[in-house]
Amino acid sequence: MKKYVQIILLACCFLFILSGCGSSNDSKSASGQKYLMLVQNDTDGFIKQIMDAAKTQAQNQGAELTIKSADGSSEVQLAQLKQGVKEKYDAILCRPVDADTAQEMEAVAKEIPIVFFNARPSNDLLMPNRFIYVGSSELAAGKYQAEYILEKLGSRDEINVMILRGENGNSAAQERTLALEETLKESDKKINFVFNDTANWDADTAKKMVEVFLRTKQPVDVVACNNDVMALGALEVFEQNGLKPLIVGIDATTEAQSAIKEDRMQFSVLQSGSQQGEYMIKAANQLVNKKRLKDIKYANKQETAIWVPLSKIDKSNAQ
Amino acid sequence: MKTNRKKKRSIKVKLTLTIIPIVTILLLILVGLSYSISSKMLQRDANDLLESSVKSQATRIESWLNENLSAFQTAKKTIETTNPSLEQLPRILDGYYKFDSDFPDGLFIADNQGHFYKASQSDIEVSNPTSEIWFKEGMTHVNMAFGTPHKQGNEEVISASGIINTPGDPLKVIAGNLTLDRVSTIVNSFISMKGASAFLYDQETQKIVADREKSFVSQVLGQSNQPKFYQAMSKELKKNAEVSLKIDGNLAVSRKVNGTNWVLVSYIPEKVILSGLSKLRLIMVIISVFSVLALGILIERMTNRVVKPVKDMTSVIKTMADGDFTVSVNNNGDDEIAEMGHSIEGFIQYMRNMIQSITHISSGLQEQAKTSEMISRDMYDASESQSVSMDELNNTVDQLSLSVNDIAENAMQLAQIANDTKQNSNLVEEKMNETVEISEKGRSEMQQVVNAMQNIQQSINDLESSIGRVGTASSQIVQIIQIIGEIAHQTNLLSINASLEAARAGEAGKGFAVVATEINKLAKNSADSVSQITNLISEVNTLVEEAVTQANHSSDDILNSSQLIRTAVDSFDSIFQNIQQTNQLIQDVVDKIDLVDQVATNAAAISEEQAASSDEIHATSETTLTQAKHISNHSKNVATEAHKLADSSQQLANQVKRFKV
Repeated sequence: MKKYVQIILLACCFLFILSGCGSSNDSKSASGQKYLMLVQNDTDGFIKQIMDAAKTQAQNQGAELTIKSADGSSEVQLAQLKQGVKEKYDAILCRPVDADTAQEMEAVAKEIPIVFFNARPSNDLLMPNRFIYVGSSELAAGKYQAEYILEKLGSRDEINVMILRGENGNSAAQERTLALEETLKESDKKINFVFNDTANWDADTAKKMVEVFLRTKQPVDVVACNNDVMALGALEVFEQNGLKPLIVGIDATTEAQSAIKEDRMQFSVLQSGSQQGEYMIKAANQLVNKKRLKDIKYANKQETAIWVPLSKIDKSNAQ
Repeated sequence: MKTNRKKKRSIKVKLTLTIIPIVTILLLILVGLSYSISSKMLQRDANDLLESSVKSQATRIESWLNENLSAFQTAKKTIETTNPSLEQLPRILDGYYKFDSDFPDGLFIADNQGHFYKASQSDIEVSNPTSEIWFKEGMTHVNMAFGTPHKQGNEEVISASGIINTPGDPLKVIAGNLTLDRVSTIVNSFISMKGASAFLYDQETQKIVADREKSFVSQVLGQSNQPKFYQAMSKELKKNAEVSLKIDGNLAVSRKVNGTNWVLVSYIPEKVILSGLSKLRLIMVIISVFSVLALGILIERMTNRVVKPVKDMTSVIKTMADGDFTVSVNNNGDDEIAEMGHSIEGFIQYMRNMIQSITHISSGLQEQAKTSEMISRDMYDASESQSVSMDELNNTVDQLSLSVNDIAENAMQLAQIANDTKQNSNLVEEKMNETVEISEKGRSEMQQVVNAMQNIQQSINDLESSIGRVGTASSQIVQIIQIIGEIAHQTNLLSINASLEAARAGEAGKGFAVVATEINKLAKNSADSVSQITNLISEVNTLVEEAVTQANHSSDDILNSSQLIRTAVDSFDSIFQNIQQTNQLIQDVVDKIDLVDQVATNAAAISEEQAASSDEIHATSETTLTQAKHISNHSKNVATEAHKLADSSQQLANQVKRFKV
């Protein structure tokens, strides 16, 4: 009996020592780490902004950053990821071509942490301190739009709102719309959603939608779009028809900002690509060192995401 | 012994009473723990399962809706592409009638001028198309989308609608209906978890869109006729659309259905989840009961085997307790009990040796006790005889004391006599003093005689003869004085004798009495002599008177006689002096007698001290006697004790004899 107890105790000690050794060996300084950044394409302006910031931050930390573009193909992206795993990168930074493939990516990455950005996989695919998301809150963006509308039209009892959404099924589009609608509904005003359809993030589609809407002859006070591209498309049609509703967008693109300066468009929300790039690298370093995400600013409670703050852009601060 | 036996519990009972409860408790804890852990695990698993079920269900509902939507969308696209004339429109719509089981009524179109187009066989009745919900909803989007549940005829439906994007007026809205019955069927047939139920809830209107229970459909969630769970759930859903919680005995998970305002709620009673667990618990309890029983039997068997040698040993020990040390212990084995047997074997051996030596010692002791009893008896006898001797001694001392007392008494008497003698001699002295006085008087009278001689000179002749007589008388006085001197001498001797007698008083006080008489006689003699002297002196007086008369006759004679008288006076002086000397002597005698008295007194005192001493001797011998009596008592006690010791050692010997060795 005593012998068995001894054997068990010894086994426990042995395991404990092994595990202790394992964990202590994993600690590395940021310098010398290798990160692989996968993007859906490297031509998008916002993605470029993120890439540049990430490069700078990696350089500052003494880490090596490799960037690969999948040119819009999930399969290419997965192949790139597999290659990266073989080459033993310390962490993967990924803008998935399709956020639904995140599960497969996580399966391929195994122990290597992944920092997703710009397109967010569903919540249950994010794991604390392992598979995380760095980005800005889509809900906050929608909420800022609604708050701006309510502030601008504070004197009105009834507001007629036209909504142009992004792609159906896109989480960003869904969240932005949801927060916008909810915040508006929560006000004491009567909100009439006179039009609410998707324009697939696209200016031309937005134009067509506005043209159809105008045929319904319904009044409109505000046009809220899930992005600036659609907002600018809508703006064009309204201007052609001599109408001047409030137009609010998201992304604060250069065109949108100049439109805001010219008071043709009223409001947009700016995601800081450079800040996102910076925090991605910081988060990657933290994960590689097996440290908690909560030590990084803007991390959420569940330690599955870092919410880089947004800035509100109106005539006063548009550039 | 009997009361002890009542309290006694066998090892078997003790072991059983200890181990069985402990094992039972441990098993209960084990069952309880495994039940609670597995119930937690099951609940977690069930929750995960329910979540994934809801997710897949929501996805399937979504895709089902999207399927229908895309069917509508395709139809709409066809219409938009072909842009049919108003006449062509009903024919196209006829093509969709009963085209799909989900929307058997097919599609229908209305324009903003109040025209309504439907399949010819469709029985939808619309009086004012522009006021219809689906029309209003359709006006807000180009892409087909579902709206809120509403009543179409007798049926609860949801409509998918959208603006037909064709140029030119009037603006047309196309729509298709899905009955909520159909939705309910779809919703519940997509449940992937066994035992779970689901309902669909519209966030916009807070109505139930789909439920297995038809009566609930299109009711506002949380009405009083609905189960408690629905009411609780409605509160939760108002707070948050997507929840995962345990509520009213159910696990519940809700998910939004994308592209709609709907929330899918799936729930499963905990009972269902834990039913398998209850079976597991039952099995575990049965196994536990069986193991406890098996353990009980095992303990019974084991203790029997283990206790058997102990029982053997107990019987050996009992025999030993009865005094029989001829037994021995059977030893085979190498366990603790065998070791105990070895020890008992050793103990028996040791006891045997010890009892033998005790027997030996007790017999020796008995002998010794007897010897000491005898010695003490001898001692008693000796002390007894000592006591008798002491008694005798005491009597002797008593007698001695008596004798000493007699001596003391005699000495006292002597002292008394000496005292008396002293008084008598004092009397003598007094008389002598009187004599001296008288003689002094005589002297003075002699002086008168002398004076008369001078006056009477005539009878000097007569005086001469008288004076001759006076001369003879005075010679006689001289003789008497001599006698007195002898007496004094003899008294002196006697007194010496008396003192010697007194010194020897121890032998006899009687001699002294004789001496005292002698002294008395001598005193009488001296008194007689004194009286003779007095008589003689009175004769002298007479003679003197005769002489005086004769002097009267012859003054001449007086002159002749005066010389003689002077001589007589001188003689008288000498007599006087002698008397005084006698007096002195008597004084001395008295002093001596005083000494005798003192000595006699001392002798009395000494003999009294002697008596006291002999009293002390007596007391001492009395004490010694008491001591001797004590000694005899003690030696008597010693004898008794020695006897008792002899008895005890006899008993010890008897006791030891009880042991068989």
